[in-house]
Amino acid sequence: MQQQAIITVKDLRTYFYSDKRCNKVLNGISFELYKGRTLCVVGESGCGKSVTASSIMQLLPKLSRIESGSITYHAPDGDIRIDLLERNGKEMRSLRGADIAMIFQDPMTALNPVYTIGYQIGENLKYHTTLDKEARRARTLELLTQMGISTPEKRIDQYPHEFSGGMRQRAMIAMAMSCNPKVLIADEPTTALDVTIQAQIFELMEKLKTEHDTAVMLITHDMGVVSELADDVAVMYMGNIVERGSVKEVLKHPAHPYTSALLRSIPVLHKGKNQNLQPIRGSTPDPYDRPKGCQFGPRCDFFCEKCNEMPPESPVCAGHSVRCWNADQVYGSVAKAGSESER
Amino acid sequence: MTAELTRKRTRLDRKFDKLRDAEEAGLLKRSKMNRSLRKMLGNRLAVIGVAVFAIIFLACLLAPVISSYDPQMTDLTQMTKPPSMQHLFGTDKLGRDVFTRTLYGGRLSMLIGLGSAMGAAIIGVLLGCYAGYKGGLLDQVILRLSEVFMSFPQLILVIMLGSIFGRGLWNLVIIFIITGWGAVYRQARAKMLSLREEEYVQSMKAFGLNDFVIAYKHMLPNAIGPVVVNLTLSTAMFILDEAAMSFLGLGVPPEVATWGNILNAAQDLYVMQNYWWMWLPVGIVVSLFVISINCIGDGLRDSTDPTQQG
Amino acid sequence: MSVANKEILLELRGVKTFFPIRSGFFNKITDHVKAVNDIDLDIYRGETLGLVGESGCGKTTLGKSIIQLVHATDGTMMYDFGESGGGKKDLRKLSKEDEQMLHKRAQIVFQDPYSSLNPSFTIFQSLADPLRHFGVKDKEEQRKIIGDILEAVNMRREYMDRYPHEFSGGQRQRIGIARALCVNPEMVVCDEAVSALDVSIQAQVLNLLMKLKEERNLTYIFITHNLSVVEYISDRIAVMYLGKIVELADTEQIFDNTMHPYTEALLSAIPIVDPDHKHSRIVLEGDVPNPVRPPDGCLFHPRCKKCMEICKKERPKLIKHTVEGKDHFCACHLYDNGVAQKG
Repeated sequence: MQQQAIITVKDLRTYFYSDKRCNKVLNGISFELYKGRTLCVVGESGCGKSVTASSIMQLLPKLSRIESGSITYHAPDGDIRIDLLERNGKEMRSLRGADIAMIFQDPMTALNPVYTIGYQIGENLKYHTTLDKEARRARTLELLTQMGISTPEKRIDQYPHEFSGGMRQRAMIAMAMSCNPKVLIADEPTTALDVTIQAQIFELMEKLKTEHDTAVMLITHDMGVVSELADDVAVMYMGNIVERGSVKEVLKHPAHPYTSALLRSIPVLHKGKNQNLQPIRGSTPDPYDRPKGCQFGPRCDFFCEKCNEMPPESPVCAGHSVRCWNADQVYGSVAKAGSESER
Repeated sequence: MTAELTRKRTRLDRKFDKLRDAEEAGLLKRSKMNRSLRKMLGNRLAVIGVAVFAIIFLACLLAPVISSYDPQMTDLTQMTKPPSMQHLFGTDKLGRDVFTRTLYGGRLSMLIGLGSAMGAAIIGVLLGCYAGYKGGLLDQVILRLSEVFMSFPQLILVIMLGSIFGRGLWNLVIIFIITGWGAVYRQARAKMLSLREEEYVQSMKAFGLNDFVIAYKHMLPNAIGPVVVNLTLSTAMFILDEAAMSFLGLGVPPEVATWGNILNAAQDLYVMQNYWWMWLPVGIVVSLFVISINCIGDGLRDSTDPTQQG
Repeated sequence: MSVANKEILLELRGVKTFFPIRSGFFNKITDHVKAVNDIDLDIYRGETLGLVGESGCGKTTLGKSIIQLVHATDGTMMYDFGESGGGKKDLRKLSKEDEQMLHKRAQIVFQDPYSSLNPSFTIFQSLADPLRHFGVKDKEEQRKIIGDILEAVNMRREYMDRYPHEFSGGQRQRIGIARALCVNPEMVVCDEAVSALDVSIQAQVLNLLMKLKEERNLTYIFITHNLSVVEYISDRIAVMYLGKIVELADTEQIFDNTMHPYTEALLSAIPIVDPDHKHSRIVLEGDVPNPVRPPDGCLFHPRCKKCMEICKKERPKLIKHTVEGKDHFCACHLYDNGVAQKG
């Protein structure tokens, strides 16, 4: 199947600056978002996954900048280099919300408490479409209904505080989907929600993806979410994508020591007490005092001389690439460990 | 690189470049210094404020060393002399050296300002800390009480106390404390209310520790920051209040030198027009001192505020 | 497992914890948040009891009511202080001395590693006060005890003179555990003890908790919303919904022979790390009702797929069933006529 890339990120580097220091948050990451597919970016806090999203949206804080690399949006009428657009320029603003939309982790802070939900969704439509007031309201109602909000006629004139957490997130998604964006970026959309509500939101996102052929980039720290929702996955560690590929490949045959260690360290439902959790030793390094070369080196079981240099991204098999010098060993060892644990 | 060519480069970009190069060369080390202190030193206004404050403070403290005159000594041969080498700020209508009076006056003004601010802070913090932690009826009662005290009109209190006990320095201090503690109380209480839910406090409760130990030993150090900031600002406010009161003739007895009493001379239009040295230098010193304290206060507030990055 | 001898450590009967809602000019109590609403529960010495449920179901309030951080408003909580402590006593009617004894016997580990340590005290200063409170006045002895306990949680003795900000999240959480254990309690309430940690760190802390339990013969009440974690660590699980226990059984029982429809939905909503496993989610409609005005009848009936007429009128009791020869408590009208052949 020929997949159509909608956003290509190439060797992106984003650094954050403070008064005295420079934090290399993203250290050369590359990936593509495809139409109608979900890419899950997974990693621990501070690995740069949210910064990746805000780089694409050009919503970076003021004291930060894209150092090098490119973010290309393959628009229907020609490519657009997002990284070259002015942060708050006209072109970027017309892309944001219309072509590329974003959902945030905390819907309570992302929605403005002094405007009604209907007004806030209508605002986006007003800015990006030519619909008149009546049509906008009709469209807003339609969106709320699509998102599974009951009695939308009543809900449309309510304020965010009258909505529950799950409903707010639905309203956020309604707002994001209002202009039928080509790309939907969701930054931990369900972390603040309960599992039963999370299931509702996921159901909704899956539906939207298939109906509108949207490219979804989902940022999460939960491996379970990855395996449920993702088509592709990118594992991040300390500002690098250490491994990416199709979800089945990566979760079944991880080729990076970090991915495989991570998978062995999380308890899996229905496996009960018999599972042998193997924690990753140590803790994530200080971003201002990064190890040389491979960032995972000090915590890695496969560490060797070579690892003092950053390994390049190399393919393991079709659609699965990894940044590790010893990927072959890791790739092989998992199968062995798997058979051992089954005993 | 194309990115570099098309995007406008700003001053910020150049600063970023410098930082990045230094970081890559491994020159930047994690600073061992306390973060708040570092931020304070990085704040130019605050550093200047500290310097100005220190100069005026030390000068007042060392007044007998700096000046050989007696602030109360009248010298009728030297009346209303303009500034000269002998008399830096000139002399007043009774021939007293204005510079000396400014230095000695500063001592009392600072005592009133700092003393009142400290007094108000101590009462406010002691009450606010415990009431904020315990909550309930106690807190409600003190809260209403503080509102009553804050709504007393200072001026009328001063006149009242003055007419009962006679004019004096301590009247002012007492009145400033009475009207000032409420603000500190509210601040301390608000901070304690948010700290109360912190898990380390809950944990100490789970050990069954005494309420006083939890409130004053474990919570107070974390609640004191904003109060200290406020202390500087209210010191400045009280110094100005003292000047205003004394200017109106309601403060300290007129023969005692304070900044307000020296300024009192300018009540006379003739003095104002003809003897500028009697009020202008003091006015400038007072303003400088108050501005410097405010700068320090702002600097402290910014440096202790963890939500401000950098 | 010491569960076999089934010695009851804590017996809860009809425990209720209501929080008053005040409103109006005179601050009159107009209503109550029924956070914990009539709970019967036995906790056995040496077991790990998992308390699971969504946010707002009252699990944390129940934990805090046991530790006496929150005071229960009704019911009895009989705690067995053993022969030296004077036998069973109701925690709601303890004398001052007995309450101190409880504080020494039962401790709590909190969720947020960033707010659980006093930022202006060193670790030693934070831990010394509880020790002093319980009679260890000598500073050298305090240092020895704190050093030992730090080593027990896999940290170095010297760390006791450092400030909290010098530690990572996982390390702080271990210090939090050390603090709870420094007075040698027999029961520890772990309130979401691993939820705020990064996935790679969670396993470290979980394994540490299990090791400490073996070494010190502890009883855990493990409160969490994460079912995979609770399955890994618990001997028994109590599922809570709106302040009530809806199902209570051995861990394997809960997972293999799920009875209550809510537990069923909860289990199906959890994303599982297994790309081959595409299970059917039971997506619950709507949100958790307001605990101020819980619905009539079964609390779960407005969202339940198997709701019957009786569920709307009559509140089901937590009834003991026997499934595959094991006790299984469930509060659901589906099983009013005994357990139909399940599985």
